[in-house]
Amino acid sequence: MRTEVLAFLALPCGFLAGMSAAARLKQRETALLETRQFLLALKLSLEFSGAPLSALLSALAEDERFRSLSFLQSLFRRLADGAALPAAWQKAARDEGKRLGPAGAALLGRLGSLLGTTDKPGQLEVFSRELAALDELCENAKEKRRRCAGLYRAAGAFAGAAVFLLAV
Amino acid sequence: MNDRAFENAVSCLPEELRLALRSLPESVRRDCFEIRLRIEQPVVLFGAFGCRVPSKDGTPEKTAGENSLLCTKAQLDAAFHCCCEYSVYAHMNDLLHGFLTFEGCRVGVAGTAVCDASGAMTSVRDVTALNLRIARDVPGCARALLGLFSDGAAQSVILAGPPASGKTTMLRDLIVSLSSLHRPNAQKLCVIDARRELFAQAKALNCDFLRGYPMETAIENAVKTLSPELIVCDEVATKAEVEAIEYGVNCGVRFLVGIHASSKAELLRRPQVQRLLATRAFDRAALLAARPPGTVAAILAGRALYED
Repeated sequence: MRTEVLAFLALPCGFLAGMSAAARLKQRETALLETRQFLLALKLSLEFSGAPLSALLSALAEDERFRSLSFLQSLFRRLADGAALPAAWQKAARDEGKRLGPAGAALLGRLGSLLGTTDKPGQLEVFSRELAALDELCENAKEKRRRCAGLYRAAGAFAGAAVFLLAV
Repeated sequence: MNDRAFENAVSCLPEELRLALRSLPESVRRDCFEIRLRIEQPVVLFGAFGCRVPSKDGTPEKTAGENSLLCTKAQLDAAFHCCCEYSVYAHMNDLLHGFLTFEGCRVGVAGTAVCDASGAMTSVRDVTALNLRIARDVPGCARALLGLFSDGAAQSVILAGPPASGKTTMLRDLIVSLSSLHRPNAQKLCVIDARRELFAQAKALNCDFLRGYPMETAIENAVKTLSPELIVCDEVATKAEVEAIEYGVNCGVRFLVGIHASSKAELLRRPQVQRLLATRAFDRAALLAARPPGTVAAILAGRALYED
């Protein structure tokens, strides 16, 4: 009896596992796009206002689009703890490893190591380069979701069905 | 109050340097007006005590030794970036003029100029030295000079002194006093703070602040749009700045200007002072002594100012 119950549960569990894997791909793509939007806004603020980074970041944190951005929340938490901006940025970037993936977190770290260290043309050049790399990451994430999401859902369902059939 | 000024200045330094300087005796921290950092050289302090080379444990030695507190390249870079608020691009204009402003302190910057094809300086790289000038508030230090601005004093005033004689501190105190609404006949005061050294942030004072403007542009803008009665400027030096003051004087505005000079003879030898005196708008000059800072050595008026 217990075997039959577990066998029946295997089908929806497999399907849910597939759905979860597909959702993670979607989350990765969304996180990269949100980060891209944030960095673009930061670049524009720097270009047109020239205010110090702390002022630019504070203004962006008040922006509705970025208020719940986990990177910014982590950054300001570390600043409030007394960390200097470069160190706070690096730690916040590392915290994003799970959300953005290793490549995305490394990109944020790379940008952070050069932010504020050069004149304005230099800063815009840094942003252009990293935003181009981020565009590629976003494109890859989108392509992966397109190719693999359906596959994961189907694989999960088939795995669940296989377990059901074998058990029954 | 003066210990807070020292604290503000050292807050830009990396932890190792900051902790060592915080361990200095209170008298040294109180009387220090300059902290000099150079790559791989001992940290040097200048103040009313002369020159001191602090050791790693905060002992203010008179000469360098094995235990002297050294500033490494990484530490200087960290201090520099902190002074720039981690935003070099936002301070490029100041850097091209050789300074930054941090917590009201002027930070002199020495490095390598980057120039474009025409030879114009576009940037600074490889910073090798920083000179932190500690800004201090000394309320009431300019009381002796307030009489120069009393009712009926229709002319402009020069405040002269050698470096580190307290000119900026006295100007700050004069601005606070002259703009006070608790004095009768408050004046329409405009403060031109080109290096943001007079007040770190625009204070809640009854005057108009033009911070970071080139002095000549600020004077022209102020005269045209802010209808000032008195304009205060620190460290008038260039021909363009003097021409702008001449313009303001011709528009009926009085000036209080700070000028570097160690003596009356040196003051009167300066070409920019000669031009200012030629306007006949300046009939008072206060000369500060080199030591102690804030000491009024002489007040020159009328013929005593114009004659050598």
